[in-house]
Amino acid sequence: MLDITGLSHRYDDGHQAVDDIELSVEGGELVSIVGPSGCGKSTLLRCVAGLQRPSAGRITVGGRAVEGAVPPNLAVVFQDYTRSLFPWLTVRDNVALPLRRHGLGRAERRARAAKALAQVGLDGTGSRYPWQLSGGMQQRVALARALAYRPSLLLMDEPFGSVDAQTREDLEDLLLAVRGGPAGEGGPAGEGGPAGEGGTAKRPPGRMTILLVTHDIDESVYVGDRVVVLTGAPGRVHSDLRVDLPAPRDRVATRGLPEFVRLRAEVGRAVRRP
Amino acid sequence: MTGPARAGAGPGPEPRAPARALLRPGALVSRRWGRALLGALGAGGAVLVLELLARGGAVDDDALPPATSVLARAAGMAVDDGFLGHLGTTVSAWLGGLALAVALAVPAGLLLGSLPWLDRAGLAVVELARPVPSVALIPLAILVFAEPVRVERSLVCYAALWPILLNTLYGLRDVDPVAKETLRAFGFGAPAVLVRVSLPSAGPFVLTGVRIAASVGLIVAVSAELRAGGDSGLGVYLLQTQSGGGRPDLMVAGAVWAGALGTAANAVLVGAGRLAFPHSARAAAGRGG
Repeated sequence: MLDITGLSHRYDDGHQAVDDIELSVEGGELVSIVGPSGCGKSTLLRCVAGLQRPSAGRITVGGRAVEGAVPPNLAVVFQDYTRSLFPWLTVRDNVALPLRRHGLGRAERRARAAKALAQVGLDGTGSRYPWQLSGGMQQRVALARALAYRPSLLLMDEPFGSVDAQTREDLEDLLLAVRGGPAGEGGPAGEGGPAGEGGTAKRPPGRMTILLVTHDIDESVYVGDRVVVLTGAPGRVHSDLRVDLPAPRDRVATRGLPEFVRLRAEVGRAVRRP
Repeated sequence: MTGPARAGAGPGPEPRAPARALLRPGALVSRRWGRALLGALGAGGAVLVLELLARGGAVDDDALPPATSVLARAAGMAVDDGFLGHLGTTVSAWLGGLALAVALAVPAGLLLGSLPWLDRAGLAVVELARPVPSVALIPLAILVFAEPVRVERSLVCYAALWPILLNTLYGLRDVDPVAKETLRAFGFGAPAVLVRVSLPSAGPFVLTGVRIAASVGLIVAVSAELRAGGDSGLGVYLLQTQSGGGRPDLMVAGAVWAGALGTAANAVLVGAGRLAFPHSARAAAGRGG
């Protein structure tokens, strides 16, 4: 689904953000990326999103090279929802706007937006403005916007870094709930063509592939199928750990499992060791 | 605006943001009424002082007629077809020049603001042309256009261009890069980002530019009429009240009308801004409190 080979990026000011990153992500996987701050996590994400052309290396999404152009069927959730949501649009219009890319009519866009808002538990808020909602609700709007787009690859850049701890746990569970059916059932939504085309529109979409950048070690293990730890600047892949925790994850029970505790400690050690 | 926010507060399980306390209609309305009351007191006080100065003989009646008689004259002029003709000429030249300036400056600002190399070259021209006072160009405009209405409109347009252009440029510079990247990440190209993010985001700035341009434009319109003459316009009317001994009461009443025009334009533009950009109106209300 996503293949990164030899990815390096050096900014114009000479700062080497990432260095020779190799990473392969299967369709339907949720991969957490952790690392010390300044390790180039966000640069990696921006390169995958086609927002930043890397100095070297190759990225393919669904077999297609990214090469500085935004891949189709990709959505990004940014950390700072106050900046990423458009304050001049209502919640509904914020969610519906990207759907113009799918060439959908106004009624269809609105229907999809309403459905996505219901998915994240925000029915009835469509006619409000983002700034009339709490922080956690705003980030759920941003998530709904990504869901409505039905991406095959969802990139999240510290998506829950700006909300309080309780809301953060709620949003982690919400993400796990909305990522789609279990792995192996169906493929990534709409791979190889516009999402929601033809008969697939009615069926629940297959599990999304998700790349989630976080600095929270606990979160990386709790939501991830895999945790990729990057070294400090310049970022390289330090370790790649499979998370074998039973689904569905439970915020209390899962965190009590010996395997969770072991993984969290291992990721913690990996992050702290340069 | 605040109505739906309160009515639809039900489903959200999360606590409401503290910022929304500012949006309680009660708080806003009472503050607005308080402000209006103070404003009315101030205006009434000023009228009273002017009235007393004139009636008490502190100022010569011929130089400054009593405020009440000026206001009575101004009110009478509202039904005076001759005066309304003058007023109409000024309003049409003023608004025409302003509209032309918006039509030129906003696209120019978008172009300059989205092409960095053009921005640098363009700003140099702007910085050279902007300090030239529009009234200094009146003789040139008379020479070029001859017809008074065109002289007036072109000068208003020239004066109004700069505040609108500069505010558009500053507004575009202020657009949040994250907002632009959000749309880019959904696969939207540069033109779509310009129209759907940059323009609405810069909108409140552009509108502020138009407000400044409106007041500058009115000054220029009346100045041009005073100098270029013609047979109609507020400035022409003022010149006429000067002749034959002069009628200071009509003169000041004409000036009152000019002031009313400026105030009305400002109020309309502020109201339009509140409707079009509720998010920035909210920011303004927050700052006020």
